[in-house]
Amino acid sequence: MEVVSFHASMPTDPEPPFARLVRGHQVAVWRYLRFLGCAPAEADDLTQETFVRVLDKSVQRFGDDGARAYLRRVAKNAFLKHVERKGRAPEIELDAAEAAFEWYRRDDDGESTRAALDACLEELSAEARLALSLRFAEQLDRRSIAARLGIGEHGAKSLLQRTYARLRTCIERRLSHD
Amino acid sequence: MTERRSIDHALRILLEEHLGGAAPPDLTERIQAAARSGAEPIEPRRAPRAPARRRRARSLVSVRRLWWIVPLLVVLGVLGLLLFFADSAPALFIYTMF
Repeated sequence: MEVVSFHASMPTDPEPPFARLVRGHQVAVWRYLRFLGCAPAEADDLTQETFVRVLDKSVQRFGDDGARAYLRRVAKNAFLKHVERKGRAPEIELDAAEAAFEWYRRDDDGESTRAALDACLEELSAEARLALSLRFAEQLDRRSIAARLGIGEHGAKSLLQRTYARLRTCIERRLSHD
Repeated sequence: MTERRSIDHALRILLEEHLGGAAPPDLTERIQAAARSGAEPIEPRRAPRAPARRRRARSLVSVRRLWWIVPLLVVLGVLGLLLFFADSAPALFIYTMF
């Protein structure tokens, strides 16, 4: 099996193995870090750190799946070190975060889950879609969402909870049909 | 069956990405520039608050949640103390303890 050093091949090779590795896996690593509990900017930094750490390793000899698993492991360790340095506990338990990522990823890097989410968002009522948009696009808190929708705070809370439950059921139904 | 909490977490991440614009960026150039400059991990290491070994041991429990390691460490500590005091005055009392 061919073992190629990234450093040796970087300056001359037009498509160096490292560039190919980054291009092929950066999105998956970034998403994995988000699932572990990183904010987007943290995920940017730790994705960079993950790839810098494997710079001298011939990761591609493990094959595509092996490289993906290896990068996830490196990313997880980078994340844990980051959390230790910050001195804060992860916002979600690692087991639960990894279960969430596996649920999302399935066999197709999450394509079917994302497609199911798109379809399920279309099925929601206008009010539910607006509530989600206020929550995630405008990042309003529950009180502000309630004010914008003209309902009470409890009403906004239960609307969001019902919407999440509907989305969850819809996505699971669609994924089980695939 | 993935438990509900995990699915809710996944859903939140996906909605942040889908509706909130927190989509994966193209980091190819940035990573390659960092690789070329031989970048070290991004955050500068601050002076540790506690000795590194103790901090690491604590993080085994608090961050990595390896609770099973606690009784192991306690037993090892007790055995270590027994060995340490084996030839000293308190050794006389060790037999009576058991």
